[in-house]
Order: sequence, then structure tokens, then C-alpha cells
Amino acid sequence: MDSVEYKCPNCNADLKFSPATQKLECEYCESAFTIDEIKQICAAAENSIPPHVVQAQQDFEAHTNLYHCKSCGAEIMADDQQTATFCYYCHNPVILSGKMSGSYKPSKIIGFRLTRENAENAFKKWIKGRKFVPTDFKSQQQIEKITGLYVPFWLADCNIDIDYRNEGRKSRSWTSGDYRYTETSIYRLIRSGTVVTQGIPADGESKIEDALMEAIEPYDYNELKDFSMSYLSGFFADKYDVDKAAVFPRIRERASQACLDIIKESISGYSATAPGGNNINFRSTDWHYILLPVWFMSYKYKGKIYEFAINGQTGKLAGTPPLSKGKLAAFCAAIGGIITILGTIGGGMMA
Amino acid sequence: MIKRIASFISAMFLVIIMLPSMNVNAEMLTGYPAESGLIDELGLYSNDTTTFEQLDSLIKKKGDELGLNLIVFLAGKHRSEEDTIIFADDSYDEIFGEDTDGVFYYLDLSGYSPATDRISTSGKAVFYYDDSTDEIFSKLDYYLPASGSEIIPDDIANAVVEYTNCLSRYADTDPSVFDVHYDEFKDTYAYFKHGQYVVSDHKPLVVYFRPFCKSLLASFIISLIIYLITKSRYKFKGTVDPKIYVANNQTKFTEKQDIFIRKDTSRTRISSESSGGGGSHRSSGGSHHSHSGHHGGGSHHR
Repeated sequence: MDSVEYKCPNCNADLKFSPATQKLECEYCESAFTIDEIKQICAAAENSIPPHVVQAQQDFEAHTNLYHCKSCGAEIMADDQQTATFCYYCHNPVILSGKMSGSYKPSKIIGFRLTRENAENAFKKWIKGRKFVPTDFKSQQQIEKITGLYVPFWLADCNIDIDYRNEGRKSRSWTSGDYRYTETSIYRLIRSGTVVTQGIPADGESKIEDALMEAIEPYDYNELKDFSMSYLSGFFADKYDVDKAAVFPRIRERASQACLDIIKESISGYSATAPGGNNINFRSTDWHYILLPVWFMSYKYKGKIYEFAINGQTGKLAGTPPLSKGKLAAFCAAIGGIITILGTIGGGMMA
Repeated sequence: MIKRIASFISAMFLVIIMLPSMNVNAEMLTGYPAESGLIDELGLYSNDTTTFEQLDSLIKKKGDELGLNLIVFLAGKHRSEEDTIIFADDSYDEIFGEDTDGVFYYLDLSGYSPATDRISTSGKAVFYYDDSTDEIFSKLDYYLPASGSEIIPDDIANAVVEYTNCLSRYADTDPSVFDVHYDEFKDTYAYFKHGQYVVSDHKPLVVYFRPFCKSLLASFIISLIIYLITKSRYKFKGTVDPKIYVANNQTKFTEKQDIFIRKDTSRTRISSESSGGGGSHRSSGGSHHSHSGHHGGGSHHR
């Protein structure tokens, strides 16, 4: 099995991508290289990435390892630099099964901006105000399970024709003598045109909740770079298992909602509009397959998996905190007990 | 000089201490034997001793039957409501002693309008009748003359008979164990325990039972609210407005029109009915506590 390794040109130690500096750094001689520099250096070096590996999809697959978690069956992709010590879904050890096959090479990637320390601090801050999570959810051991993961995403650029025809009503009322008059003016509302959406993302990973990935949006696409294996160094990466056809309903729903919002914004001054009357037609959709950085953590509590994600670029976080019902019930019982005691004594004294 | 100032201060102190009790008109009946019966201050039956004796006998008999001291007092002199309360309470205590079991029925026949009747209860009679004095007064209204109108002795006799009947009918001889009366002047608690009337210096535990139940209910509701609010905070939240992905510079309306079609006008007659009503007015006066034993009861205006 060929492996892709990024060796320091100075000391031949492994290079790792640093989110803070956006460079590949050597932990031993403290050298640092940009992505472009390392491409040039490695291209000439004996242990560098062969040009065909860098460019060709087949080589990308050949130099990427696929791990299968025996516990939950998740497929986890990583380059040779990586050691998968546990599955990022169920935290069980994963076994290297062989070369990865049947996946696509991403066209673009956004590198991690948020360091592990940043991610851990964000998590600690988020969890600080939540007193009723299980104790071990806050433990350092759990926090250390935060995993830097490149999640496969489909980006859709949609050209949409909109045609909205509906009725709007404007009403005014006044009183004259013994009568109250109501005048209703009815208008025909027409809105036709083109809406272009750019970069609506939909994750191509079936094991991560779609809502969780949507919650940490948006990413700043200005930082999209051409894909290079070197970005994966020091992080996990996954290949998509949901193709673009499967994610299109999600894209269509979000794009349609955006169109309706735009139409709604353009209509004002009406007391009521009839429902429906809109025709949204997707004329064309351009797709991009990219990897986006996510700090990810999952926690199993009473048979349920709780997922937590931080946008590896912006630091926006989302997740479902596990609730220790025992802790909460004890707290409520304590509050109830105090109220009962004070109420009984106070009421008894006043009686 | 210092002695004079000290004497003056002491005198003023005594005046201040005595002032509240000096305001109380301590009129009461004295010299009556400690037995149930009819007291005719008005002299309604001074010429009809037969009726008087019949009524007196009836009251005594009813008192023996209920185990209560009963006085029916036919008042011929007008007293204010507060004075009536004090008079009834103090007269009962003077005749029968504090914390004994009995009822003093003050029937205002002074001719003053409005007439103020009073049922003053003592001892276990507080528990027997305090919840039903209004009903007893309602029953008696049927026999008693309106204030200021002519007093017919037979009507009063019938009222007294009905009163004794009411005492039997409305006697709650098995009051709730949670019913406790506190005398703030003597700092004692009166209540029924195992069917026995008890007056104690110690607060009975049953006093805490109702506050406990109410507090338990309140704490349950509050705890439930806390639980539900907290639980709702542990739900997944996070939506992104998809409009952020719209390329505004490439989005354009080719047609954007609001075309007027028609105008509809409707009219409805405004209802001329108007509803209104005055609020209810209720005034309440202060309460009096004499220096005597436990008293309950109620007053009634005719």
C-alpha cells in the first residue's frame, strides 16, 4: 500500500497541518511550510507525493486508507499520517482494512482555522452553563475525544426561475352613523424572475445528523482552496456515502425557502395574501464536492448518541447536550423540599 | 428634679399602656346565675310571665340537651356593632366563665335601624356553630321584625323557638381535626382531639398539615416548571436562514407588479345594546378582641 507522507525537508520528521498558521509544521525542528511550498518541495523529494497522486482521483484513493469500525460499521477515511485510535462516532477502536475505493476526490477544501485548544475551550464554555449534563460528559477524558474531522459536503449552485401570482388584500374600516364600513381592495401580485443561490451545503455523510451540520453553517467560501492531501494531515477525513442525487431534496427545500423569503420581502402593505400561487423551477444546478472542517464529538449516554460539532473555520458550535434526568430530578426535589419546608413552617406560624 | 421626670415618664408609659383598654366600653351583664335561660332587657314579656317561662325553660332544656350554656338576650338598648360584640362576649364570660362551652344570642329589639344581632360562641360552641351562623340568621329573619317596625311578642317567641331548633340542626358536633382556633391574647390553641375539646399552650401539629399540603402542591408545580424549562434547554437548537446563500447581485425580478383588480365594501350595523353594571361594594370594619376567653360567632343586620 502506497502511503502519502509529508516529511520535513530539514529533519525528515513528519509534517502536520497547523490550523493556527495554515502551514505544515515540523514539531522537531519547528520548520513551517505553506501548502504551495510543500507541494514544490515534495514534488522534488524522494519521499514526496507523486504528481499523479496529488492530481488523479485514482491515486487519491490509492493513498488513502479506509478504516472500518467493527462496532458501528462507520467508514472513516484518513491519510497515512493519521492513526485512528478510536471511531469518532462510537469511540471504539477501528481497524485498518485496506485501501479506500469508490470515492471521489474533493475539488476544494477549507482548512482548519480552529485549533484543538480553541475547540476544547469552545466546548468547555458551551457546557459550563449546563449543570445537568452527566458528570463524565464534562470530564477531560471526554473533552479529549473531540476529533478534527473533514466532513464531505456537496455544494449546490442553483439557478431558479420563480413565478409568483397571487392575490393581496388591503382593508380599511370606518364608522358612519349606525354602521361600520369595511373596504377591501384586492390586488393581483406578480413576481417573476431569477434567483441564484450559491454554495448551499449538504453533508454527504449519512452518519452525522444533517441538522447538526446545518446548525454550524455558514462557512466562509472565500477560504476554499484546491484540495490537497496535505490539509488532511493530523485530522480525520471521511468520504461521502450520500450522493448528490440523494441530497438534492434537502438543497431544493432550502433553496425554495430562500426564494419564498425573497418573494415575501418584496410584498408589503397587504393585510392578507392567499396561500400558494408560487411556481419555483430549478433551471440548473452546479455541484461541487468539497471537504469542510468540523471539530466533532459524540457521547453515548443511556443508549443514545449525542453529537456535538464546532465549525472548524468559524468556531460556531451546535449540539444536543445530554440531560442527566437524575441530576435534574434531584435538583427539583431539593427545590421542592426547601419550598415545602419553608411553606410548612411559615404557614404553620401564621396559622 | 430627676425623680419628677422619671415619675412623669412612668405615668406617660402607663397611660400609653392603658390607652387601648380604656377605649373599650366594658359594659356587661352582672349578677346573673350561671345557668341557661332568657334575659329580657327590653321587658317584652314582663306582663307575660307564662311565655317568658316557657321560653326560658325551652332554652334550659336545649342547653342540657346540647351540653352548652345558652343565653338568649332580648336587648332593649341600642349598642353599636362593636359594643354589641364586646357586650355579648364579656357578658357570657361574666355569667359562665372563660372558655366554657356555650352560646350567647344577642337579639337587638331596641328599635334602632339597622338592628344588630349577634351570636357569640365560646368553647366548643365555636367549632359547632361558627360556620353556620349566617344560615341561622337567615332562618331567624323569617320570624324577626324588620328594624324599626313593630315588635310582636309572639313573633319573637317563635324566633326563639326556631333559634333553639337551629342550634340542634346546625350543631357540627364532629368538627374537623384540622380546625384550630388561636387566641392571640392568651396565646392558646383550642381544638378537638379524639372528640374532646382541648385548650393548649402548645401549637398542635395539625396546624402544619394544611400549610404542608399547600406547600407540597406549590413545590410540585414549581419543580415541574423548573424541570420542563430545563429539559427544553437541553434540546437541539440551530437553524440557518437559507437566504444567506442567495446571490443578490444575480437575483432579479423580470416582472414585479401589483395590479388593482377590484374593491369590495361591506357594512354592518353597530349593535346599540350596551351592557354595563356597577361593581360590587363591600366594606368591612375592624374586629374586636376582648380580654376574655375563646369567642367566635357572627353578627347580622336586619
